[in-house]
Parts: sequence; structure tokens; C-alpha cells
Amino acid sequence: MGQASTGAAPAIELRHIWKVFGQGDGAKAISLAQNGASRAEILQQTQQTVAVRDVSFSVARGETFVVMGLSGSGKSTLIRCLSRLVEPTAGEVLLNGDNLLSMTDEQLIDVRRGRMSMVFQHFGLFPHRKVIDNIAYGLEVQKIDKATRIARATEVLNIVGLDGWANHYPQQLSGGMQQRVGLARALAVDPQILLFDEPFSALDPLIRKEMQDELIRLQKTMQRTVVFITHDFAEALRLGDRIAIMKDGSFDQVGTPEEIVSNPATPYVREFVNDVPRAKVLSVKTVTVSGQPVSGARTVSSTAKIETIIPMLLERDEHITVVDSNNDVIGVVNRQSVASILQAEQR
Amino acid sequence: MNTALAQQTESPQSLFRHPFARVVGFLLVVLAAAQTFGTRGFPETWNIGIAEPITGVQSWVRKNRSSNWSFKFFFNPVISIVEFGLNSVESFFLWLPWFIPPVIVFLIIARTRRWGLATFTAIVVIYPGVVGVWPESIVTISLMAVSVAISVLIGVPLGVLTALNKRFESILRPVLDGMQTVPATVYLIPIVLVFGIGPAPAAIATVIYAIPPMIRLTCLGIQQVPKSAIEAAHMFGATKRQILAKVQLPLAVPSIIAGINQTVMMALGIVVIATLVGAGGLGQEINQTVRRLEPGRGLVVSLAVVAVALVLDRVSRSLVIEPGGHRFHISRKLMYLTIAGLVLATIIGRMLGWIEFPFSWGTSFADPIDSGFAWFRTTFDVITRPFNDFVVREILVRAQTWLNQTLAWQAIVIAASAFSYFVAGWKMSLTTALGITFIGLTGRWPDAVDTLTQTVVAVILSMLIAIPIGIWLGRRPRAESLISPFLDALQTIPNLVYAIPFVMIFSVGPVPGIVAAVVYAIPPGIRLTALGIRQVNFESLEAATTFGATQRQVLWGVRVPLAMPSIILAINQMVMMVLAMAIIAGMVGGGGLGYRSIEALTGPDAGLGTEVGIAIVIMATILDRLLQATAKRLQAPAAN
Repeated sequence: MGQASTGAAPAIELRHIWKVFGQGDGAKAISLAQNGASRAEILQQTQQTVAVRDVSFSVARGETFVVMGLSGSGKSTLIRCLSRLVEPTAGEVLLNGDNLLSMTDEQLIDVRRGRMSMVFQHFGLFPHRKVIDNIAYGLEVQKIDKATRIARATEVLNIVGLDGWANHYPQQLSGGMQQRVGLARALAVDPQILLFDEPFSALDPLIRKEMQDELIRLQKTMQRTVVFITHDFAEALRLGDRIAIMKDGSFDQVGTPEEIVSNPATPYVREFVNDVPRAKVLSVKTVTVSGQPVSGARTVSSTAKIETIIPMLLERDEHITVVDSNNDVIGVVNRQSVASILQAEQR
Repeated sequence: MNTALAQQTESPQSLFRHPFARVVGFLLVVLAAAQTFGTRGFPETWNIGIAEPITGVQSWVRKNRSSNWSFKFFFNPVISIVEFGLNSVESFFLWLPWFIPPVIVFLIIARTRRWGLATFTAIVVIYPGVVGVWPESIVTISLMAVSVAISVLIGVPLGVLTALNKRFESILRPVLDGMQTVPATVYLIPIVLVFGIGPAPAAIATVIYAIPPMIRLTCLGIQQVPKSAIEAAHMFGATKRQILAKVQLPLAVPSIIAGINQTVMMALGIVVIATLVGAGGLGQEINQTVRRLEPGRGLVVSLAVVAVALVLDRVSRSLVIEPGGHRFHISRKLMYLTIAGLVLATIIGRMLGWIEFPFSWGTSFADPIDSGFAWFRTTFDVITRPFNDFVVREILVRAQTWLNQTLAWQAIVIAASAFSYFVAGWKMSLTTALGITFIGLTGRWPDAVDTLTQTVVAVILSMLIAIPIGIWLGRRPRAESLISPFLDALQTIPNLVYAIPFVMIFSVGPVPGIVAAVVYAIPPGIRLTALGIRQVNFESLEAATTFGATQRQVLWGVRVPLAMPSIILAINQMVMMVLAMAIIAGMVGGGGLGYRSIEALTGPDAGLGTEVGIAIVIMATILDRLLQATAKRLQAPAAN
């Protein structure tokens, strides 16, 4: 299967993925859906549920792609299609250009052993194995010898900050620690692709924040390709390089956090965006207006978040010069321009 | 939702709403016609002769047992292997000094740090020795060990297969369900036919009787493995075999051990019936005490069976410990040391000749009980004799005369199927009509009537006792927690034992069987009733109280109606237990199908056995389904 790989291919590419649950092949349900039938209508006519409808996207190497949706939106099914834990009804899944869906069971097992691993919502830990053996599980199924796998597992255990817990059983750990074990287990096999299925939603808000920070920290050093499922819009904004908003099995909008917050595509997306503190998400660029830079005035990078310039504007009511990555001046920001975008939040 | 709707349209509720009176009137006319023109008692000439082909098979088996290849190369070798296993285990235990088993039991349980339990169980191990049935207990334990080992060897793979393969499950599940309603005596017959009589066939019979929970619980254990754990294993590229060996089976271990536990209990449950096939040991002892009418000795020996059950139960429970649970860590060195110590103790014991149990107080326990029963019998004769006579003459004989001679069988069939229709719809009505008629066609109508009347009397008595106690206990959790170990203990006693004291009191006949069945059936009846009463929604009770309902109004207006489905299930369970007791009733002179089944087994008469089996299964199935449907009917408005 190595032949199909090309350097240019995205790490993950999904093309027109459909998943229909229920008896039968789902062809009728798909054609109904293509003609605009709703889920309820399809359920009534075919007794089948369309969980994922015609989803396409690609994820570049090292990118973090977040799929955000509420329960029942099909996001968990989508990530299972992507890992073939659930067989898609139609469509293609390409990993570095290799067709995942045409693989034999042996090839699939091979991909799962080396190239991708997953962190689960309810952790999916093995209650009968100690923490260290949970982490080493992925290596064990590959029949790597005990000394090597324990050494590797210990290493990862330290990375996620669980040194000293190796010989406990998962149920003796707190929820946050259990999910660290889940994360360590996924990292132990050194996968190119990491899949996260609502990994932090079972955790307390404070622990969740801590785990998000941990993930951001790890991702900075490790640069994996990540697909992350969540129902928490704030989490999506924090973690995602790009975000897809999923509703009723399909994507309402795909874009960077900034694109989505500054320009929600549908009323549904707007619902989420309304609650977002924009100053934390939007960059200075979105509030930059044309104007003469005051000589000797303060400058700010166009990619900085708006919240960073608010104290500066409060300090002195003067234009601030905005520069791009080449240090060329692209305009200015002032109290009015910032206030107008923040006011949009109140609507 | 859909099914609920479908049921409503199918159910005869519309009949109630519309011309209900007309339907009843029509029914009455049909019944009157059936009564006028029908025959009294099922015509004997209508026997379709199920027995003949089976008797044919039986005589073929008799002739070819020594020559046919299936016996030469399969059945006979199987018997030899099982026999070898039984003999080895038995002679090993007989060779072992008597003090070793209690020590081992103590060590196993002490590992969970429960010292009191460990000491108590070790003392229980000695009990059979104290009452003088040590060798008999060893015979029984060997039978248990071998049949449970075979059950595990066969049951675990079957359970795994059932859990993983839908098609296999759909085949096996009805078989397992069926096995639970067929009385053990009936399916012992083919075993006697094929394997003959003796300890090894008894072990095989025990396996067949006791294996269903092994299969079920293994299956359950595998199916209960969290889906997320399996998904995770898949995601790490584990093969199906790796998932089974490293995830599913280890996580199913507690459930598998529970299965072994249940299997042991089931196996002990037929220890007495197994003697009919040639098992010795405690079962045989009990059987003899019944024949000799020695309730004291019967009780003492039965307690030995209870002791064996208790020990095996506690030991198997101590073997499962939650991962990371509370137990001693035992290093390999300590383990070797312990084993070495045990071996040394064994050698010393052998050298000193401390092998057989050193003393026996058996009769000194038994005699006072015997004389106590004799005293009870003579003293309360004024009560027991009239009771006995009343039940036999005024209830059983009258009911049987009524069913056999007063009513036409056609009228009985129509009335029963009409009742089924109102309770469970037309399908059940058809099942009832065909089922009852089929009992007639097998030629077992009179026996079935006999068993049915006894069953009904026993069930009514059980209800009168169990339901009030259950209702009372349901509101007193502390009292219930005091009584429940006692109820548990009652359920481990082999059911023949229940009959012994009552045979003493009432003398041989249907009454001791009925009374024993009542005693046997009430513990689960009490349990389920109390459960129903206790689980009534707390808010409903509070609501009733805030409206100013008195305690009594809350009980009869809210608790009991809401607990009704559970109470019906309690009745259902009691019916099944009473039917299970029918065989035992047969052993103590109860007549009916139970007596016929023993006749068939000791014959052996496979034809008769088949007829009896069919009749009992039909009766049990109809009664079970009707009661289940009634419970569902009562539950439906609550669910909406």
C-alpha cells in the first residue's frame, strides 16, 4: 500500500463520507437525503438513520482539526468512520493518500498499530490492567518485548505527569488522571495521527482546562496530526487550527476560529459565536482600519489577539500601528474600531 | 413505541370497550354447548402414541449398546474417562489426611483478610466428619468436582461462542430456556439409556443439568465488557484473538466464577435425584433416610450437603478479587513455602495414620430430632390428620372429580383459551388450546389433572403465606436484611429434604409434597413481593402522604397496586418452584406427573418419560406465559 503515498497528500482526507444506520444497504436513504429529505423523513420511510451525510474535509500534517457539534450531530460516528471502527456506508477515507476503506483486515490492523491512535470519551481503559500495562497495551499487541514496552510506557507516563502511578489500577485514579493514562496510551505507540473523541467532556471544568493546556503544550513539541471531537465550542476555539461545526450529520461551516467567530455562516453557528468573548479569539487584523500611523507610536502585530491591545488603548486614546509579519504597516487600530467589533457581541 | 402501538391494536382491549357483553354471552353459549355435547375426561383412544417410536429407539439402544460404533467409539470411552476422573478425585481425597481440606479452605479465604469467615468456613468443612458422613461427602464432592470441571471445559467455550456469534446464540438460547423447564428426571432418561447407570452417568447427568448457568454467565461476562475497552483495543490494532484473550476473557472472569458458583449450586440441587441414576454419597444417604422415615438423620445429612454448598460457594467467591482490591500480596516464595508446608503436613498425617475422620456424633444429633418429630406427630395428630384428610378429600379429590368427570374436556380447553385470550391475546389463546389438547393426545390427561390440582393448591397456599409476609417485610428493610440469609439458606437445601419432615408429620401421600412445595416456594415469593413493595417510587408515596393518606391508605392505595407486577412475578416464580417440586412430591407419594417421571426413570421407560416431559413443559410454559402476560398487563399503565 506504500505505493499510493505521495508527499503532497494530506495526512487525512475524507471524501463524501456517508453513514446510514439500520437494516439494509442505505442506498435509498442516501438518495433521499441527496434530494433534501430530513432525518425524520428518512427514518419514517426507510427505518434508517443518516448519521453522517456527505462530509468531506482534509487535515494537513501537524494540523489540529476540531469537529464541534452537539449530541446526535454525528460527530462521534464521523471519527469512527475515519478510523473504521464504524464502516462508512459510502465515501472514501485517505490517510497520506492510502485508501483506508479498501484495506484488508490485516492492513487495517497494521495502520492502527503504527499510524493512528485514539483517546476515548470514557477513557476506554482496561480495568484489569495496571496503569503501566494499559499504556503499554498498544505495544503489547504488536508483540514488542516486555522490557522495551515497559521502558517506553514509563517514558510516556512521565510525559503526561503520572510518574509514580504505574502500578495502580485505573479505577484507583481520578477522572483527569485516568484520561492522562488514555492520552499516554495513545502516545506510547508514537502515532502520526491522534484521534480524540470528546476526551475531556467527562471531566470537571478546571481539570478540563488543565488537560487542554497539557494537550496544547504537547502538541507544540510533538506536532501530530490531530482530529479532535468536542461539544464545547470554547474548547474548539482553544485547540483548533481549524474547526468544523457539525449539525444533523453534515458540516455547517469549516474555518479557522477567527473566520468562524468573525463571520458565522449560518444562524446555527451564530448561536455559538454569540457567547464567545471575541477579544480572546479575533486578531487585531479584523479591527484594523486605514489611517495614518502616528510617528513614534506603539505598534502591534496583526496576528495578536484583540484582548492584548485593550489595556494599551485604555492607557492612552491614541492610534496603534498594526504591522504584518514582515513588519510592514498595514493600518491602525483605535478605541472606535475595537469597540465596534466588541459591540457586535452584544447583539 | 411502535411495538407498544402494535400491541394495543392487537390486544383485545377494543373488545372490552365495544360489545363486551356480547362476547361473554357468546363464550357462555359455546361453553354450554361444549359442556353438553363434550366428553368427560379426555378420550383414552385418542392417544397418538408418542411413546412407541421412542420405546423403539430404547430397545434398539439396548440391543446395540455393546456393538454399535457410536457406543464403542464415543459413549463408552466418555464413560470410562469420566469414571477415571471420579475415581482419581475420590481416592485422592480419601488418601488425604482429614485435616488438610479445612486448612486449605482457611488459607484461600484468609487471603481476603476475612479471618472470621475463614475460620467459620474451615469449621463447616469439618461438619460432615463430625456427623459421620465424611466418606459420603467425599463421594459427593468428587462428583461435584468432576461435573463442575466438565461444565467449565464445555460451558466456557460455548458461552464465548454464544456471546460472539449471533446465530449460535439464537440456536442455543431457546435450548437453555427449555432445559430449565424440563424436569431433571425426564432428561436423565436419555442419559440412562445411552450411558447406563452408575456414578459416571450421574456425573454426566449433573453436567447437563448444571451447565446452563455456566454458559449464560460466561456469555453475559463477555457481553458486559465495556464497549469502550473493546473499541480501544481495536484502535490499537489488536486482532480478534488478542481482544478475546487479553481483554474480553480477563474482564469476564468474575462473571465466569459466578457461573461456576451457580453451576455448583445447581449440581448440589440434584444430588438426590442423581442417586436415581446411580450416584452414591450424600444423595443416597438422604434418599435412604426418606425411605426409612428418619427425619433426624435426613436433616443431619442434608446439612452436610448445605455445608458442602456453603464451602464451595465461599471458596469460589474468595477466588475472585477485584483488580487492586483488598488482599494479601503473596510472594512466590511464600506460595512455595505454603505448598511445601501442606505437603509436609500431608506426609506426617499419613505416617501417623490420621486419615479418616477421628470421631462421629451423627446419631446423637439425629436421635433427638427423630423423637421430636415423633412427639410432634402424636401430639398434633388432632390437627394434622384432619388437615391431611381435608386437603385430600375436600380439595384434591373434589377438584379432580370436577375436572375429570363433571366438566367436558372441550369446555376446559375453551375456557382456558378464552382466559388466555383476554390476558395475552389470540396467539396465546391458540397456544393454550393446542397445548392442553396435546397433553390429552399424549395420554397423560389424568396425571396432568392430578399434578395441576396439587400445584394450584400449593400455589394458593404459598400466595397466602408469602405475599402478606412480603408486603410486611417490604416496608421494614432491617427485618428483611435479618431474614434474607435465612431465606438464602432455605434455597440451598436439596428439595427432597423439605419433604422429609412433612412425610413424618402427614404420612405418605400428596399432602407432604404440597406442604414441602409451599415451604420450598415461599422464599422467592417473599423476596420478590418485598422487592416490589420496597421499590415503589418514593415520590408517589410522599405525594399520597401529603394528601393526608393514612399509612393503611398508602399501603393499599399506592404501594400494593404499584408493586402488583412484581407480586405477579412472585406468583409466577412460586408456580415454577412448585412444579419443580412435583417430582419430589412423586417420590413421597404425591402421584401425578412427578410419580410417572420417577417410574419412567427407574424403568427406564423413555416413552413414558417423553410423555411426562412434554406434559410438564406444556403446563409450565402455559402457566408461565399467562402469568408473565398478566404482570405485563398490570405494568403497562404504569409505564405510560
